[in-house]
Amino acid sequence: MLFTLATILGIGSAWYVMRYAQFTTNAQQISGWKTLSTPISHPSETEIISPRILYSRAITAVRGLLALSSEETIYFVRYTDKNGAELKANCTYQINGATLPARWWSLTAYANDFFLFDAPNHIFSIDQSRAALDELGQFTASIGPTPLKDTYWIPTIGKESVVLTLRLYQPENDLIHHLNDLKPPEITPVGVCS
Amino acid sequence: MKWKTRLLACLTVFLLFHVLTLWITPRLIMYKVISTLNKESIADGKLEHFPAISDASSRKIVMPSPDILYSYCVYDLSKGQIHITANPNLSSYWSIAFYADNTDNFYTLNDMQLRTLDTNHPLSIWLKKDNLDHKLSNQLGKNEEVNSPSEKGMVLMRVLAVDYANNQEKLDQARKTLKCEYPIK
Repeated sequence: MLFTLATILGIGSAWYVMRYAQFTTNAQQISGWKTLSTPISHPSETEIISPRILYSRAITAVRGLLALSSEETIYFVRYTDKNGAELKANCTYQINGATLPARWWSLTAYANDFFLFDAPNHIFSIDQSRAALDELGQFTASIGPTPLKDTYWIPTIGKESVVLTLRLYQPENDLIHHLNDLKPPEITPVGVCS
Repeated sequence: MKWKTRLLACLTVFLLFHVLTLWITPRLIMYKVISTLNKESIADGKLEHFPAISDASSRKIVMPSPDILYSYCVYDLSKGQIHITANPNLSSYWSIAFYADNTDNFYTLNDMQLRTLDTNHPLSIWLKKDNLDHKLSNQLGKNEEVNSPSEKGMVLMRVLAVDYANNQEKLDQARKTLKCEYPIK
């Protein structure tokens, strides 16, 4: 009986970490965005058996299968708004940010099963080619069931949780070595949820 | 004393199954992906696949990027080495990434790397399984030999699809240059 319980708890806790836990052994957090740490491309003999590789590989397989190594692309995920409240599909959020130090970047909204929403306008993301910068080099967009006035709109459907993913393809060298210097987009809730 | 032994045994069982689940899950997920794509290859009679740009109906692999066009093939090196070629000839971002059967992205080449080394030569990679030597050839993308850490795996090409509606023909043509072939012995 005790061994069965230990088995169930062992499998269950591993599954919880892979699917839901908002931390990884080597994830960095920057203004509410957490890195999705992909395993390094060529682990050494000692790294192959390290908890860091074990956890990051398992979490990436469940939440970001076939992600590129961090040398090629840095992935960030976020589950909360700037006040720390869970992102919900029935709430509207304003995105504010500046262009990011990478060859190309994009911010995508996913449902809590990590697949795309059935957006009526077929817009699922904003990227550097669609982020209209103002005179201060800032862009504004909205995510939610209804658009904010005069903003680029990424629709969300239903009432479930939302996961945002920020991809930085071919990040600049300075950023790779000083990730904490990044100024990622800010996610601000607007009005009341529907 | 007995309860201490029991507690220690329970903790060992807990840790064993915790680690085993973490270890096996990526391999099971990749096994399922490779099996599904293999079935598609058999049904289509070709190794390469060119799925439509991602939307809400794209549910084979989590977190599909709606801004990237994908091309892919799965490989089985028990059939011998496989020759991967591509020549997208684009000025925008594209890359080709290799994944082992435990999901590790063990090698990636992008357009910038190829451009800085030579005058836009077509990409040509020979993928093989070799346990003895994991060092890569110096000829980046030019008849380069790459060692796969596993017998089975996946090759995934990404082509940036900015303004896809207006560039569809050009981008589709570019990503369809991916070829995966087992040489005839």
